[in-house]
Amino acid sequence: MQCNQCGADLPEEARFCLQCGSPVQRPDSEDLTTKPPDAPPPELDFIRPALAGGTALAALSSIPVVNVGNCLCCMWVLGGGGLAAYMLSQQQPGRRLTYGDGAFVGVLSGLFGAIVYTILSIPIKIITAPLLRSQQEQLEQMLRNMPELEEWMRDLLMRTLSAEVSIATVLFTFISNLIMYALFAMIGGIVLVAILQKRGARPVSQTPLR
Amino acid sequence: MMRSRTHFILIAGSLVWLAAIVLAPLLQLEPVYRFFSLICHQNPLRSWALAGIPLPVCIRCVSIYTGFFVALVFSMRPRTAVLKFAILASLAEVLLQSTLIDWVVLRSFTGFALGAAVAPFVRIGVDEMIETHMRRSRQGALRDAM
Repeated sequence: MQCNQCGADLPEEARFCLQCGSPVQRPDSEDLTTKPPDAPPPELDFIRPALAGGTALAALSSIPVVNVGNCLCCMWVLGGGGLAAYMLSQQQPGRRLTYGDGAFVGVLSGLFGAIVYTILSIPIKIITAPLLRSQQEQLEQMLRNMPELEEWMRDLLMRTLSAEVSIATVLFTFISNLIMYALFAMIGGIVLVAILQKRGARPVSQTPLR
Repeated sequence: MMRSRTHFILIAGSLVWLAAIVLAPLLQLEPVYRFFSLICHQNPLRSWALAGIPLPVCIRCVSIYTGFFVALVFSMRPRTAVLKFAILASLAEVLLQSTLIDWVVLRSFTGFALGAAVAPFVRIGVDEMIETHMRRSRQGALRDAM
């Protein structure tokens, strides 16, 4: 370090010049004075990761054939929540996320996902209905070959598998998805935070648990 | 062990969830079948049946939800190693089922373990989310009103 006045070499910890006696100005002195050492970390932005996670889960859940992944423990929805939590963790790599952070970003991504899914699924269903007809016929055949299945159950499964689009089905699917996606994406967010933890470490909760 | 209000809500919620699954075939509740069709293939060949009617979710899903409920009731502690093991075991079972062994007992066991391993983390996560995020937004709304 050098004196700003006379250019003399000074030890790092010097506050005054040993040659001319003028006060030493450190380049980062302003930061040190204005920023308290225990200042809270900057707020996390939950919206952007939630939008990304929600869009990803909605896209994967609405594409025919790909959406079969949701039959495996709601894989895409859990993954969307997990993606949102991962993106959140990348905002401040040194910061340890709490399970509450993972849950919150997961819920948001699930809610966004339900909205995006509803918007995407209507045109996709209309476009792919003729393509999926043969597949549907095969499933219907399979159900007919199960005599032990009751009639109402067979009708129900047929209706569930059908590609019909009506206001009632869209509304029912939307409300159901709001609940399902929010819950499962929340679990995805929490699980990802748990997995990202280092051995022996535990995220510090901002408030004590009762 | 002291249980928080969130803990009781989670237990009640998962009990209602399980009750809906069990009662759906008995009471022929169509909306329940439609609701669960969004997250389960509902293949009758891979589902348990009540009174001759398949449940609205498959065997793996029933096992997961049961494990989740049991872990909440017994206030199991969160263990990251157990969670990782349960996830890996479930993934391995899915791979095995499509290649070598399709064993109902194994599917039920890995599903149950997964649900039980996840539940304690969910309990803490929901508790923390309500404590921090919901309270903060409520305080913000109060500040704006004043």
